[in-house]
Amino acid sequence: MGAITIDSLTKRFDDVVAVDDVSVEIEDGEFLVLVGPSGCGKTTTLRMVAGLETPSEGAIRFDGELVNYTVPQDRDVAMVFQDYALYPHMTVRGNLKFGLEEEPEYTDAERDERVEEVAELLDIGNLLERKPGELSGGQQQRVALGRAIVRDPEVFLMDEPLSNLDAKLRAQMRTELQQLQSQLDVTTVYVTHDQTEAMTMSDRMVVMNDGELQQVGAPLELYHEPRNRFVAEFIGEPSMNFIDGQRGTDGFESEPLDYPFDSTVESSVASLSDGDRLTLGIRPEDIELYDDAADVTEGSHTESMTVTVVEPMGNENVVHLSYDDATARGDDLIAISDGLRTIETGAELDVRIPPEAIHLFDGDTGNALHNRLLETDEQPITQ
Amino acid sequence: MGTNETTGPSATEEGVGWQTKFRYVLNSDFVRSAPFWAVPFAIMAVAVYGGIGYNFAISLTDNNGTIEPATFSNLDFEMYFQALSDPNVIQAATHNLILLVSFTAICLVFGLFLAIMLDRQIRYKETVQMIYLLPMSLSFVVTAQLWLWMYDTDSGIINELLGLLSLGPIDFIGNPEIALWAIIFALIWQFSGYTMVVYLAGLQSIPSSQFEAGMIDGASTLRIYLRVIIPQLKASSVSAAVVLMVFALKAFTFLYAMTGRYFPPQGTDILATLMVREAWQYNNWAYSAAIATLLLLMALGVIAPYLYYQYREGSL
Repeated sequence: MGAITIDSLTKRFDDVVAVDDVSVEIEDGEFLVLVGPSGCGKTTTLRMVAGLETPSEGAIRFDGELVNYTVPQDRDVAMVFQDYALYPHMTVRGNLKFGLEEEPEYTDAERDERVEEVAELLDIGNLLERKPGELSGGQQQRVALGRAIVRDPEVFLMDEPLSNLDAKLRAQMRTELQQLQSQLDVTTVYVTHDQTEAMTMSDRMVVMNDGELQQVGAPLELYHEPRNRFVAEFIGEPSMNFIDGQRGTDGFESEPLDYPFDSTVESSVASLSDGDRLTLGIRPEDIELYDDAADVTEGSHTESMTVTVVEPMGNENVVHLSYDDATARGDDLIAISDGLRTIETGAELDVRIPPEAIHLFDGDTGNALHNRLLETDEQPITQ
Repeated sequence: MGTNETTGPSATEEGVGWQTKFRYVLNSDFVRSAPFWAVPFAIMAVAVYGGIGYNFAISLTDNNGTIEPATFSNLDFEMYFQALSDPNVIQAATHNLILLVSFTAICLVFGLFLAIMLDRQIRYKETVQMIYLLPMSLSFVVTAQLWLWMYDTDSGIINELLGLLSLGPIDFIGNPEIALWAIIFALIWQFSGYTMVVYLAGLQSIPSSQFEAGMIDGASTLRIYLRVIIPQLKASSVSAAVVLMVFALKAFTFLYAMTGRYFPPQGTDILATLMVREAWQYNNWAYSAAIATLLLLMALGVIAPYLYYQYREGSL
C-alpha cells in the first residue's frame, strides 16, 4: 500500500548538490526518520517524495510505480509543514475540509462528519470555528496534523513538525504522534534535525550529511554500531568523546593518552600499520570515574584527570575533564556520573576508559574500524 | 501620562495649590509634546478644514459674478437643490460613478493578473515590473496628450492598426458614446502597473508553503489561487482600491489636458470639470462651491468604508 523505494536519488540546484545518490527502502506502515544537521538534504529528499521538487537523477517509486514526475495532487500523500502552512483566512473546519473538497466521492455531509471525527481524535473539536491566528502553537500543530490525517493518505510526510513548540509540549507531542502513527498504521517519513526526536520516534532512522546518506538502521543499532565518525558524533547527547592519535606498537597513541589494545580490539585493527592515523571514541556514560585509584578494580586504562566544569542535570552530572590542570580551557573528555554523586570543580579523579566500550575510527576517512562490544553480542562488530 | 503618575500627588489632594496644579498641566505629555503636533495640526486645520468650511459657507450664498464683493447674507441650501435637479450635474455624477467603478475594478483585476503572472515567472521580474510601473510616473498631462495622439482619427496609431484589419477609423474621443471608455482605458494603462506592484508585494508576503499545502491537499492551480491565495490579498486589494478611487476622482487633470479648455471631450464631463467650468467660465461661485461639496461627499463615501475597515482591523 504505502511502500516507498528511493533509488539513487540525486538533486542538484544549479551546481550545488543537495542530495547525492541516496537509496532507501521504506516499508508500508514504517515510521522512518530522516535526521541530519541543517543543509544536509533531508528536507529536499522529503520534498522530492512529496512531489514539490523533481529529482535530477534517480527514481522514487510508490509501490513499485515510478512517481518522479507525478504532481503532488496525484500522489496521495499528506504533509505537515514546519510552519504548519495553515490557511489563515479559513476556520479550522475550513482548513481540515479543504483537501476533502477535492475528492468528489464524498457528499458534503460526509465531509463534515469526517472533519469532526478527526477533530475529536486530535482533541480540537471545540476549536473548529476558530481561525488559525486565534490558536496557540500547539493547537495549530494539531490542526496541521488533522489536515494531513483527514484525507486518509497512503503516506504522511512531516517536515520538522515539532520544531516550533516549546520543549515540554514537544515531548508530549512526540509521544502523541507516535501513538497516532501506530494507530493509523500509515507509512510516515519524518524529517528532523533533533537526534532525540529521531531516536525516540523512529522504527528506523536515516542519518544524512552533506547530501549523502551516512547510515540507515534502527535507533539503537546506529547508537551502538555507528558506521562512521559522523554518525557516532551526531547520535547521542552529550556527544561521543573523540581523541585523535595514531596506531602505536601496542595500541593507540596520542599526546594526552596512550591506550593499549586488548586482543579483541587488536584483531579489528590488525590491518593498520604503526603510525596510521586513528581516532578513539568513547561515549560519556561509559567512562568510569573514581575518587581514589585504589577503587579501580579492573585492569588498567586509567588516567588521572582534572574536573573543569560540572553540569548538574538532576538525574546525572555532566562532568568535563581535562588531562592538564584546572586552568586549561579545553576539555579532553566529557563524562556522565550519577546525579546523587557530588563532584567538585577542580577535583582530581581517576578516569577509566573501559576497553569493551571503545570505538575506533580511521583517522583519515572517519570510517568505523571497531565498535563497542555489546553484552548480548560477544562478537566484535567490524566493517 | 507617565510623568503625571510619577509626580502626581500621593493622597492629599486638598493640600495642593493652584500653582502646583498648573504645573502638573504644564508638565503633562499633552502640553509638552505640543510643539511637535500643534504646528502641523494648525496648518492642516486652516488649509484643509478651513478651506472646506469656507467653501461650504460660499455654497450657502447666492454669489455669482454679478454680485461684488461676496456677501454672506441670505444663507440657504438653494444651490444644492438647484444642483441636484440640474441634468448636467446628474450626468457628471453618473460619469464619475462609471469612471470610479469600472476603472477601479478593471485595474484591480488586470493588475492582479499581471502580478500573478509575474510571481510565477520571477526571472525578469525587475525589468518587467519597471516597464509596467513606468506609466504611473508620468504626469496626467503627458498621458492625456499621448493618448490623444494615439486615438487620433486620421493618424493615430490605434486607428492605423485597426486600418490594417480593415476596421475603423473610429473617432474615440469625438464620439460621446465611447469617449468615456476610451479615457478609462487610458487611465487603466496608466494605473494597472501600480495595482500590479501592490499585489506583487502582497503575493510575495504569502509563504510558498501555502501554495505547496494546497498542492498536497490535491487542489488544482486555479483553485489554489481562488481559494487560498487571492483571499489572503484582501488588504492589498483594499489599499490599492482606495488609491485608484481617489485617482478616479482626480481625473480632472487628465480631461482638462485633453482639450486645454473648460469643456472636456463630449460625454466625459465629471463633477470636477463641471465645477471648474461653473466657477471660472460662468463665475457661478456659489453654485460651483455646492458642486465641490457634493464631490467631497462622494470622496468621503469612498474613504469612509476604508477607514471603517481599518478601524475594525484595529490599525487605526
